[in-house]
Amino acid sequence: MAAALATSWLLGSAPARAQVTSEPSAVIFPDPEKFAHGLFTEGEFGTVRFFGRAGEEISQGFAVGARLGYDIFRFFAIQAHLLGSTHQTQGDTPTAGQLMQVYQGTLEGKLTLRLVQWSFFGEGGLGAARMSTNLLYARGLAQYRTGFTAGGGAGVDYHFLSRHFSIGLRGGYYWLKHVTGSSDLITTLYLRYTF
Amino acid sequence: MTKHSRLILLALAGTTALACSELNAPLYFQGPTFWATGSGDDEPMANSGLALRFRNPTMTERMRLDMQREALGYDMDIPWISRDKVHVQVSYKVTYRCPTEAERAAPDGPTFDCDPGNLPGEASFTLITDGASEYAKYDTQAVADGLGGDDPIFLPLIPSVPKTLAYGASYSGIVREDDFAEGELDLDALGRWNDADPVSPTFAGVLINRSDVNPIGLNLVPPNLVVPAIYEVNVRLRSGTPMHVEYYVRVRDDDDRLLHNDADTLYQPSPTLFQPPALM
Repeated sequence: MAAALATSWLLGSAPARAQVTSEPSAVIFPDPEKFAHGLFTEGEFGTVRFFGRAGEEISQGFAVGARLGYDIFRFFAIQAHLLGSTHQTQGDTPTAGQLMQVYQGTLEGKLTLRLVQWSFFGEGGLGAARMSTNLLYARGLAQYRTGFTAGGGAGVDYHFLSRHFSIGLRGGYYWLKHVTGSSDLITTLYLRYTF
Repeated sequence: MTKHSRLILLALAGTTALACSELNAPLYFQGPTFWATGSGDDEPMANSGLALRFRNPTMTERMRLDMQREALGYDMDIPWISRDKVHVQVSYKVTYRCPTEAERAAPDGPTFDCDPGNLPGEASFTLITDGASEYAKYDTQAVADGLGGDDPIFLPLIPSVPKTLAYGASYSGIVREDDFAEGELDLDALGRWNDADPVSPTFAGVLINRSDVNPIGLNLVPPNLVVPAIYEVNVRLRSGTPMHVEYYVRVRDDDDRLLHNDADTLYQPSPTLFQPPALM
């Protein structure tokens, strides 16, 4: 009896049909709308190279930095940036071979153009640069250990399939007002976490 | 971990990194450049000096020095400018050349002239460093003069290895903190703990021997001595040919004792010039 019932159900069921009523919309994968935005932090490492008079006396150095920012819109963010780099003095001077550190802190604005997982950005800001020693002052290149700095740069960012993480490469060129005729180029790789 | 605690951690890490980096950051002072004229051993060595400027200790710091003196148990003052708080190094560059016309025309420029064609292709030099602590001063030239003799005997407080240069070439070197540490111990031994015992004479035993290898002449020095640092640095050059000397004094000032605040007053010690036994 049970077998007859089961068989009748199988044989008596009507076949299912799907009906397409419109063209399917193009699916963007991953969907950038699902990427986290808002408060973010970045950790970075790279190099700092000086140009001008300071470039003659200070070698390229290793840099470590961090950013804390907020995406006001998807395309615009504000951020605070701290970067420390360590250098060796060079050239044919008595002070060649000495170690010194440079700390740079800036407040920046950032414009972003996103293309799915990739984004391209430009940023700029101003702040202060501080030397760990008075070496440039003693060499007659700087008036103070702490001075004004301003500049900007650009970079490219790649977002993982994770909602929060991305990595990127950026470069920035900054003018050092209180170091005679000098500027610096900051090039870093970073990891970003958006909360 | 909450979002806020992550942010606080980040801020603390940044602040700590910046603060730590400022600890023990050295300061550099350019010494007056000078020329050796190459007139030989008959003339005094060319030299230049730089006195570092320190602030007076505060009342609390004076009391701390007094307490330290009582605790250490030897009946001598504890130096305010001490070797464990003030670390000195000299970076120098010596160039074998004649002065240019522009240098000779400068107000403080060299007054002698020379012809490179009349100079040897290579020449040697010896850089000598001495100076003063807050208690004693050592002048290598004065000691050589005091010892007398037809051939002057130079007993430097901090010697350097002689170098040879081709005309137009330069040599850059460093008188390291270790060298100063040794020289500072020797200077204090000569100034405050001088032992005239001929078996282990402080002069010139401490100058000829490294104290960690052979402690000759240090018999009277207490083992727990707080060694005064050299605050007045003198750089001298022995050379038979004209040479130009540039140098910088690097100071690591652990306890912020250098004078840089207008509210503080200048510490003005009066070191006693060391004289060799022959003059005593």
